[in-house]
Amino acid sequence: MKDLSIRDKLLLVILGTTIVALLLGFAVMIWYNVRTFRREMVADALVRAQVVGGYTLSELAFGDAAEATRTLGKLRSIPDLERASLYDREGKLFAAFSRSPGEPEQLPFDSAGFAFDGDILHVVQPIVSENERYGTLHLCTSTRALTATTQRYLTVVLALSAGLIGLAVVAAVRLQGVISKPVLRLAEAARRVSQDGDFSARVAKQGDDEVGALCNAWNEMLGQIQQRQEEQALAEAALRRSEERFRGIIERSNDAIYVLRGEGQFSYVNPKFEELLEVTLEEATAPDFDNLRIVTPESRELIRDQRARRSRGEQTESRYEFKCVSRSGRVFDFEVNTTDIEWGNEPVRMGIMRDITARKMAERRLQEQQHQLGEHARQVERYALVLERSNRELDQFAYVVSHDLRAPLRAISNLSSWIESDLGNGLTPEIREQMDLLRRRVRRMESLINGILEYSRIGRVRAIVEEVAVADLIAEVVEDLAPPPGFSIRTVGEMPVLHTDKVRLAQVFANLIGNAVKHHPRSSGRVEISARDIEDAVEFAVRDDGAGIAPEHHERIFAIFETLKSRDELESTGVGLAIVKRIVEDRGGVLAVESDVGEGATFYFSWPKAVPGDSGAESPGRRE
Amino acid sequence: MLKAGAIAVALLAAVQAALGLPVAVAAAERDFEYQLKAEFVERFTRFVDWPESASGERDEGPFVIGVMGDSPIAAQLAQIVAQRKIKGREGRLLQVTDLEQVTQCDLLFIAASAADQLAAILSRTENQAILTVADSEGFGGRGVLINLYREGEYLRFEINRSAVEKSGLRFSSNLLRLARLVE
Repeated sequence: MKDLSIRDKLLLVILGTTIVALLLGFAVMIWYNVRTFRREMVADALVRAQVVGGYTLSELAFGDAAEATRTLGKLRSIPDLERASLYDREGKLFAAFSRSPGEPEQLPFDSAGFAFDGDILHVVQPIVSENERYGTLHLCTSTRALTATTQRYLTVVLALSAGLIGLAVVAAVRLQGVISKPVLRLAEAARRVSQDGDFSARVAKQGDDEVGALCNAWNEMLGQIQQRQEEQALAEAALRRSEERFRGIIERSNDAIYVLRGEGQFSYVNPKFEELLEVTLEEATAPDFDNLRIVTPESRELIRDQRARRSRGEQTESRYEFKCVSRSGRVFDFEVNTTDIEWGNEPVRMGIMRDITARKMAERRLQEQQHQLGEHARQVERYALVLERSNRELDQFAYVVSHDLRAPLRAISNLSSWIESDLGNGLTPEIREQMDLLRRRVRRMESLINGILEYSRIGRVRAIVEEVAVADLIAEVVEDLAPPPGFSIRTVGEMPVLHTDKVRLAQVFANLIGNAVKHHPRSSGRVEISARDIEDAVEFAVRDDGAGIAPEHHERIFAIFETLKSRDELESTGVGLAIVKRIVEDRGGVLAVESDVGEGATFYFSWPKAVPGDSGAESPGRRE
Repeated sequence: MLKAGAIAVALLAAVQAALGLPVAVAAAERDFEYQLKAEFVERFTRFVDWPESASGERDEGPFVIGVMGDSPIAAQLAQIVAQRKIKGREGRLLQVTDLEQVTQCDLLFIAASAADQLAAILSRTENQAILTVADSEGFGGRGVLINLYREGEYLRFEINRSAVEKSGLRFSSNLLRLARLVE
């Protein structure tokens, strides 16, 4: 069944279905009709018995057997009636009719009814008149006619079935083609593809049914296969070209390239390899070639180790350096880059060896130079340390000296006062004036010493870093200075808020503003402070409308103990600007002045927005 | 009345065969003859239909069987009407003594002893739906509707068709088929 052609299967299905349906239908029809025949026959026989019974009632009632026999004799005209027997109420045979001679049969049963017995239908009809039973009629009807009718009917039905089945066969043979033909064509196309490899085979579509869809899918599939084959051919050609290109690149490469088989046997070396190491491809790939021969003794251990690790299945560096020696004894530094590839379906290791001999030499030279440079740097560092130490000692010295100098000064001042009070009225105006002069000089000396102390402290005292609102800071400074009432000191524009050393910044402002007031030629004047952002610092400007400074003095004013005017003219130590300069420069800032005679002066200084490094950062001299 | 004894024996056998009536061994053969005749009379009513008359009392009331003259049949008929309904009605036996009683009957048996009154009886039953039955030779020809007679060992009957037609009674063709018809 499975191996039958689809044509035969379709035929089988169509015919099987048709024949089963036909036969089943006819069987039901036959059964129904035969049943109907029998029923009709029984009904006929019952009616006949009733009619005959009615007729023979009077004969029985009046005991007229002769008349009864005559009446029954009339039944001869009914061809299937074999026998009619009339029994009286005693059950004795009263009259009878029989088509064929023979003994009259006994009543099969006494009540009204019918029964089939072989080819005879027995019908029993009691003969009754108003509750009086006068006798019983028994009719025997042959079923030959029924059999004959049934047989005739069966013959007709069977002939009809045969005819219909024949028609079904003809129709099925023709109609199955509608389905089987496209399928068979498809099968033929499939055979052509699988046996002849002819992918251009296509199936003409017949309709839009499932088979049509199948044909479409088939054609589309073939199209895709064909396209894929073409693409594959193209890809293979591309691959070949790519391999050729690859080979060309390898052969023309400026690097020495080799291919190593699993056990460390060369299967290929490129022309550059041959040239550098003076080994031909044939020699290198010969089975007895020991490739350690081209490695310098100092690199052999590295290569052996690599080989051993690889043979244990461990991962090795894909990039390393080693030294080779050519046949003629030239030594090369190589940087090799290895990679696992497939070479003709064999896993191999390809190495690209770059000649880094020149680079290595340059590196060695560079290293020597770096070494020398390091020596110089260390020397400079030593000098710097020495310098710093002497600076610190100088600061310490200045501090100690000025501290120790203050005590005798205080003594001189006090002593002069005591002398003055001891002398009392004996003081001449001249002496008094000289005493005053003495004390003034002592005070100047003291403030000078204080200035030096201050100056040296800048390098020693640790700064406290905090949030500083510069506007507030300036206000505090001005309040401390208590300038004469004729002076206007104010800020111009926005003042920043800085995270910085408040004390030092206040010191700077105090000195600059104080100078502007102190050196002002008039008793009234104007001082303006402004600020400007410059990247990670703020540039402050303190401008006054004083006498101004001639440009040739600009350098001098920042040196310690320098004042432009005579000491006697103005009480000034000449330390202020030096302190300012040191504070500003300690923080990486710049102090500058812009001024001319009669123009007033503007002092600029830059101040970092944040303390460099840590919060506790200080100038290099960090000392107690 | 030839070979009366032989006829009686044959009748007995016939009665026994056709009717299956119980027979007392000791009973006289005459009783059997009249028993059979009474039975025949009852059976005639089954094959005869009385017309729906104008007076409804006939349908409602008892079915009256009259006996004119002396006959042993009277006793037999009395036994039958006591046991069975006639035409679906109660049966009643009436010994007719007065000619005026004749028209009260639905069925009138005229015995041989009433032969001299026959013309008077028939003049009263003529054109009436009264089934007249007799068992005397020649009565059929004289106008009695059904007249019983003997033929060999069988009891037969003759029917006067013109009298039947005049009476208005409807006789079953099956009854007519078995009868000897007289005018």
